[in-house]
Amino acid sequence: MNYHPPTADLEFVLTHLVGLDGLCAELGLDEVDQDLASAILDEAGRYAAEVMAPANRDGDLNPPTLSPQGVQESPGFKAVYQGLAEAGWVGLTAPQSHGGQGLPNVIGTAVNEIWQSANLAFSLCPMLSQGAIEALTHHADDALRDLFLPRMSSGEWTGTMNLTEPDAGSDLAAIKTRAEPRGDGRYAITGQKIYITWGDHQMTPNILHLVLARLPDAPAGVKGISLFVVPKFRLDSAGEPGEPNDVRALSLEHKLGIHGSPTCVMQYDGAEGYLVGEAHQGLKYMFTMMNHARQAVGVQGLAISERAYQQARDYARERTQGTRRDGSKISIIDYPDVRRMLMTQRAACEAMRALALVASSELDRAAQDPSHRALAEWYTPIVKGWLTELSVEMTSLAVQVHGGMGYVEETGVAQHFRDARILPIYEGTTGIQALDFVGRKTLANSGDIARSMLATMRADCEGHGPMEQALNTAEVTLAQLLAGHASDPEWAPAVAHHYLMHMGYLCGGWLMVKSARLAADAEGDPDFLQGKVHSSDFYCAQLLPRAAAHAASMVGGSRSVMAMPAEWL
Amino acid sequence: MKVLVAVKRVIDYSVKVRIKPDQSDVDLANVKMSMNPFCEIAVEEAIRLKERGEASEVVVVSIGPKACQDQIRSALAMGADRGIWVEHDGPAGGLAVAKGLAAVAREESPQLVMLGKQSIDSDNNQTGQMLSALLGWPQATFASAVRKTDAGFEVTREIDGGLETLALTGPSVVTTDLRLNEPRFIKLPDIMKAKRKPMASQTPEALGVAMTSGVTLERVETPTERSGGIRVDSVDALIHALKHDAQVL
Repeated sequence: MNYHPPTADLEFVLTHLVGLDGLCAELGLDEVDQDLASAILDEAGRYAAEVMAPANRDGDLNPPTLSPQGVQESPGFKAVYQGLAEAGWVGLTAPQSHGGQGLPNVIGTAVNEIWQSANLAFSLCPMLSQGAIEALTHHADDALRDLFLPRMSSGEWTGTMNLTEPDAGSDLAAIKTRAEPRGDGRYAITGQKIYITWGDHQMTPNILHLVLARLPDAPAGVKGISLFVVPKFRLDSAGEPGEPNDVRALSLEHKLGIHGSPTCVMQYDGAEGYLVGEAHQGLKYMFTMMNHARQAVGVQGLAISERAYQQARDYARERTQGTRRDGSKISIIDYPDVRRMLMTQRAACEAMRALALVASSELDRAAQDPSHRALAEWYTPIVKGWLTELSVEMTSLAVQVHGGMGYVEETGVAQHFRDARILPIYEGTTGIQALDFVGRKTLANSGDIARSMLATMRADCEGHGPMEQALNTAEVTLAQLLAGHASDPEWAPAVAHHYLMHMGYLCGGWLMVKSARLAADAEGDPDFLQGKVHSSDFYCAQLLPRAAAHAASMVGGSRSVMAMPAEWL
Repeated sequence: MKVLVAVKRVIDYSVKVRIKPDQSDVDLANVKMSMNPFCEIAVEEAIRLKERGEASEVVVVSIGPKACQDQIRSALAMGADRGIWVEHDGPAGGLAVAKGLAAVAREESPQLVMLGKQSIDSDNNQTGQMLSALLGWPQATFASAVRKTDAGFEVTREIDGGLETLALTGPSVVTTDLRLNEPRFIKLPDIMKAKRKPMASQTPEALGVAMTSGVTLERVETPTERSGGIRVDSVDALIHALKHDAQVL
């Protein structure tokens, strides 16, 4: 169950698809280059493989517990966290002005893949800290930034995101948590939040909760939500954690997977909080972070698929079934159907990694130059939706390769399958991603971004039969979507899922073909480079045809989906 | 006290070693390379001496092609203060490297030179010993503990019969064994800082050393694959097989 960080492929994508050196020059980061990225990936990989990965199963078998003292995290996690924080990894992309390293998002994404493969449940804690750092960096005033950011960048404290309430999930307009001004510039926060990942633990002396709540004079709906930061322990005059604040974890959820991650119901009873930025702007602030947050969950889909693939591959090499005429045993990796499953996982992981890093680098460009924003935002639902949907299939295939032993928890591969199942759900379900992709990202611009991306893909894949055919289909599909939407309001939402998946498989094909072509001219380990060609060929033969299948499912729009009356179901 | 640590760029321990088609050497083209693990232990020990206040400066030296700057950088990220890169392309035997290191040691005049006991590529286990002889300094090889004393160093070394402790007087050469320490995880800010630490470049000519290898590499082969064993029915049959088939008795 060892984890081997896929640094060779990460470096290939960063060098050849992202063009890291050029990107860093564009971003004005003269100290950052491919060599530095390689050194960073090597060292992150070492900590992940040697420290984080061995604790993965411990977290699954020994979930956190709740006592009057709060949530006790899984045994061993505290040491893993402290090692991570002391080595400065939490503040990788945090601003240098507040103790971070100021590295580009795309390097953060590559490192996050490694953390999340090693130990998905654990990695959510530093990932949420990164989210909190981002929120404070972009939206808090200087005083709050100085108060909180250095403690967060150093990993001394961790962060959480408190959005969801029992009656406000996908629809945040229904948020009821209240914030009363206390007259001293701070606020008293009261309400209940659910599904709060890493809402409480004993790994750090304080935790910062970012909380969406309504002020007394707030307008109804989404325009009346403000963002607050609520520390677990109130800060004394020196800024140190003092008295406990009036916030606690009320209960822990029993979940299908990510057992090592405490999912808390958080109760706020007049807890002391600070307003982040301006009143009533909370949801807008959340939206600015959404691209990062959603792409980050997409990367989790890649990460868990890669971990499951490695385990399935290692098992298939060792497990023998059947005997050859000469008496030698046959490793199951030599059976074509097992090979098909492993190749599916391998090709899917490479396609996911390519797309995740290319999309992530677009977020770096967008932060610098708003003209890149539309494309970065176009990628987001594909990265989130397509990668996480694939991860459920890929981890399931890893179980399948193990046969009966895969269904037995002892082998550990079932954990990846269970862990993956949350990914198409949290941070906006696949359904939400699909609606976002079809509505805001496609119809709202009359398909302009999609058309320009299809043109880019066509240029990169010129002369490649299967991709050219897939692109022809994609152009027809887009035209049908635009026309269908004009005639039937239920058309777009009914086909949204298929359109998202269609574009996901197409983006994967584009980057796989591009990788194979770049690999042909690249310098490097000849086996690795030839491997890129094999993966691309397999992808185009076995995964790319799914793009056409999803397109075919869109023909006819909502008719077959909505024809059966709801009460007959 | 100044400590000089020699590090070597070697094929990464996780790489499956390939041989060039003409059998002239191991194929190093486009293969992942890393710092020799025993050298890493030497760097770690030197940094610990500094952290204990016993060393004031840790200087890292490597002899090899430009790419071995990566390994010097990696030592700087671990906490060494500055690096010296001695440029040399092509093969170099242990003796030539020892001569190069001796020249650097004479320039730098450290109180301690630390090396890995051997490198995982050629496994010669010679450079430290030859360096000690060239400098005329005392040596302690296979160190599993290093302590600074008033007169020099006290080194515990791993020998076949157990542990042996040697006292070294004056500037010394110490080569490190596996159990001396566990190299640290490098901190992200230190990886960034390493880029800004000084690295001097040197040439063998300027050091007055000829980096020619006295060893000729005839041919490199993969180890012959082990053929299947046989099962014998009795002790007598085993002895017979050992005597007549294997001819080891």
